[in-house]
Amino acid sequence: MTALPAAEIDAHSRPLMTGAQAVVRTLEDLGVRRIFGYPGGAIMPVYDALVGSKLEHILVRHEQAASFAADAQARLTGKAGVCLATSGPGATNLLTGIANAYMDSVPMVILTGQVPSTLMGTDAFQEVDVFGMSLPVVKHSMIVRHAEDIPATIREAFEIAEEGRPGPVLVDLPKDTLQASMAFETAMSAPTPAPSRASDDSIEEALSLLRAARRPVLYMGGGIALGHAVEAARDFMARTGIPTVATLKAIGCAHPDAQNYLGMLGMHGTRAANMAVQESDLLICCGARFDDRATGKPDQFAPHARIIHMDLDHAEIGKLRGVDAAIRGDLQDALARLDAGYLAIDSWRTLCRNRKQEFAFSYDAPGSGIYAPGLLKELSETAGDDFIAACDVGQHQMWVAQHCRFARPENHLTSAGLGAMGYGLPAGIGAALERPDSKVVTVTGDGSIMMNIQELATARRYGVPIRILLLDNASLGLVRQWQELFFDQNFSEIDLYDNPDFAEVARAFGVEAFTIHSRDEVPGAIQRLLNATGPILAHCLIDPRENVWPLVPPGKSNAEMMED
Amino acid sequence: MHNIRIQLAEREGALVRLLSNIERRGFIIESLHKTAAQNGVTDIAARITPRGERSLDVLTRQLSRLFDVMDVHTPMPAHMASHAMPPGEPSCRQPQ
Repeated sequence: MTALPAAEIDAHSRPLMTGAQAVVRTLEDLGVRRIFGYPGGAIMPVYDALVGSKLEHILVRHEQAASFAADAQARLTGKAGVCLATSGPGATNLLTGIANAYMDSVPMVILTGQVPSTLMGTDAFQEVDVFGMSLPVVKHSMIVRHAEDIPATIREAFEIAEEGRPGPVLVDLPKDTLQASMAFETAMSAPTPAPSRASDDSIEEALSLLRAARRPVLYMGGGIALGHAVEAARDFMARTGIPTVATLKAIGCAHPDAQNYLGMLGMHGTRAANMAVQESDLLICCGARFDDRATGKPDQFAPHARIIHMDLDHAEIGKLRGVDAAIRGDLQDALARLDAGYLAIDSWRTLCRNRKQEFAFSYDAPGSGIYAPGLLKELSETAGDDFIAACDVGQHQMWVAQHCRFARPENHLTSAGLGAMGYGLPAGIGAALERPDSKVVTVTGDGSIMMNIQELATARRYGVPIRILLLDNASLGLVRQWQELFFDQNFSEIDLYDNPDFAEVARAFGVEAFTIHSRDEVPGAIQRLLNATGPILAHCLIDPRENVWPLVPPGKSNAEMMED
Repeated sequence: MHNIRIQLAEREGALVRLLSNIERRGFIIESLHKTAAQNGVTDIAARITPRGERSLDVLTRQLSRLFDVMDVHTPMPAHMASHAMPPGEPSCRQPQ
């Protein structure tokens, strides 16, 4: 199509433009710098308008990657990531990434092309009801019916995505609204409502529980990072000396060297963390939601504990566990007001610290093969505070959570709630584009990388400084581990013996790659990865029999941890 | 069986979003009444039954956070509206 000249104006001096130009102009006005997308029929007017715009468009090779990359950018910046796709298959391919953002409360704006309004509901070519299909996995969604609504709708989508508990917001754009001429008017932002503040009564109630507790534990969740409360949480830990555990999403909230930080809780949590929670008499759940992977068998989770639940989202309170005190509101503010002084719990604190030492991971695995936990620990410590990991899903994801050092929670990009294999490579691309000077490492497996391996082309095209650490055990390792332990070693469809040569595959995409087999090659591989300035893949062959330990069996209490 | 009344902004998709949320969160919609919109607002009255052991109080808050929902009203006993439940008692196991 031919774009209308933007210089034309109407009688009120408003510039005349197409709906598609208004989409681009509104994104520019909102300060969006980068969008991830893939063109196609219904969204073509927007692609037409993108030419010459201030927006940097990253062309992925599968729409799912656009949503994952936008998700990673949003996690790093706290601002909504933007992805763009056409109707039909373009839109359905985005859905996994939308669900991922929803499960982890990531702000995202999804723009989908749609068939023209007159054809909607007629089973037109490349028509799917993406509004309906995405309903359970969006915070909100809108269909634009008139071109002149585009600026206000998109602006509102950003506001909803970012306010309160963040989440994805979808805007469906029928092609006729994109092609229609309109008089552009900059939509005014509604004043951002201040996050609600917890009541004084609820703070007092919590303080009295905290002062009376003999074995309190702070259970940190992803809401701390989302609520910009990392410093407040660290202050609270230092002020009270409270033993602290974290969910998968809260890794990095505590300073990694904090004495009273006991590590991750739950299915693959540390023994020190799980024992502390099980024995606690007061659990302060801060920005977490009692997810089953964290709690194990829910009625045996922290069985002796009274519960203080702090959350900005009222709907989480009492969802899975009754509470004794509910602090509903901004976590940063609430943590600052929860001023109980240094808690007189010396024997409990000492017990927790001693267990942390006693059950610390050891890295002296026998043999000369690559020991993945040791490699990951060394990699993160060598990279330092600039280390950002974009994980895929499986054993390697849990090893990253257990063994890597993270200075900040946003540096740990992981598909926590959805557990979506295929996240790692596109998320790493999104992260490395946003933080080119950080040490961004995609940690993936031979199963996961195949879910979005086409994104090597994206990494290559834009020269993205992404380091890919591929831990290859020639199997779907976490499924294999469960079949070994819980399905009588009845191994079913987990053997990936015929994987391609991943280093060759990477080189075919124009990505530097090398393979290592033995432990003595690890230090050199880490240096080579971290010193790379463009995309690079390290293919590491590891022992297929290696498992993730410790492990709470499904349906069991966190007190029943299995060890190697 | 619970009665629930919801004030809803009359926007495209608002009704289906509301109803799908009630079902997805584990409630059966036994009966349903919707008024014609006045000033862009419609009233929904429904009788709902939890499919398993689900808390109406939590559902109320899950519906309240929807962008189109302006108000949710459930005439229920005060103890069920309270957040206070016995320690160790998962709310989803609360007696009906």
